[in-house]
Amino acid sequence: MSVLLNTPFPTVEETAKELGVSKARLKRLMRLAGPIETGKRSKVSHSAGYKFGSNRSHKTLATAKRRKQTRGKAKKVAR
Amino acid sequence: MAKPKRSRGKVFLNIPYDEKFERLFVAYIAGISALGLVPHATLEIPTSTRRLEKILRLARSCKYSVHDLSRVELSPRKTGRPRVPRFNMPFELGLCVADATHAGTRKPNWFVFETVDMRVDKSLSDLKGTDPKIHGGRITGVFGELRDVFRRRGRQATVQQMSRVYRELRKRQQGILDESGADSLFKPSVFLDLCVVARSLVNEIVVKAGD
Repeated sequence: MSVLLNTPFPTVEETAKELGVSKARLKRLMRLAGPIETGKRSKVSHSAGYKFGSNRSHKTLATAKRRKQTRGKAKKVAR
Repeated sequence: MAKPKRSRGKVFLNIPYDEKFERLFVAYIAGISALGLVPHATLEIPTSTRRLEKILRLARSCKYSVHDLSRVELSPRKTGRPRVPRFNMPFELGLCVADATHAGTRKPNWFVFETVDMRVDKSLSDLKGTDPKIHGGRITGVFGELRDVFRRRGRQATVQQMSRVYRELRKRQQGILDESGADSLFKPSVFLDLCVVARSLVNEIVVKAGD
């Protein structure tokens, strides 16, 4: 036993109206629903100079970046 | 009683309201919303002397009804004596069946869901031949059976999409409870909020993904 649906998907506003949810409450709920986390990490990460991304050739190791950033006397010591 | 106009996208959800059923309660809301339908439940009806009439009116206003008979069993010991089975679900199922028969509906519009296979045959033998949907008490089981019952040409939500809607809804559950100042999901305002948030998530996960 099954039924074939041909009704369009209702919008959030239509659903709220049908359920008797006020506009003010809908606004609060929409804020609560918020954006959905996609599970992908951002391409540029500010932590430890490591770039996350699909292209592995672009990654910069934290130690390499630190070595590049050191200047003067510290650079001589590092060598 | 005047017969209310049946809305095509409304589903009357007849399920047990107990703590152990919380996960499946949210799963039903997520699944029904993902199929492009709007769930309704007796939770929306305030407790009053005219409750039965209001339940019938709500059930009549919905084109479809889903009845979960998973809790047709003796109440837990901690709830005290006498231990009794829950009759609300089979009773409301009976109301819907009688109404559909009276209206002479040819297409099926009421569906029975159960956790345990063959139990309905024993507990409600009058339903023999109606093919209850067995979800096994699993969330994906509920989604699979709902998809089996409600088919849609074109944009039919997958079990994976339904599961994602469920997970996202569960993440926002505490926020919804805090907003309402409630400690249980089985409160009228919490139910309505869950339905609205579920719809918003479905539009992101199912509708936009299909565009």
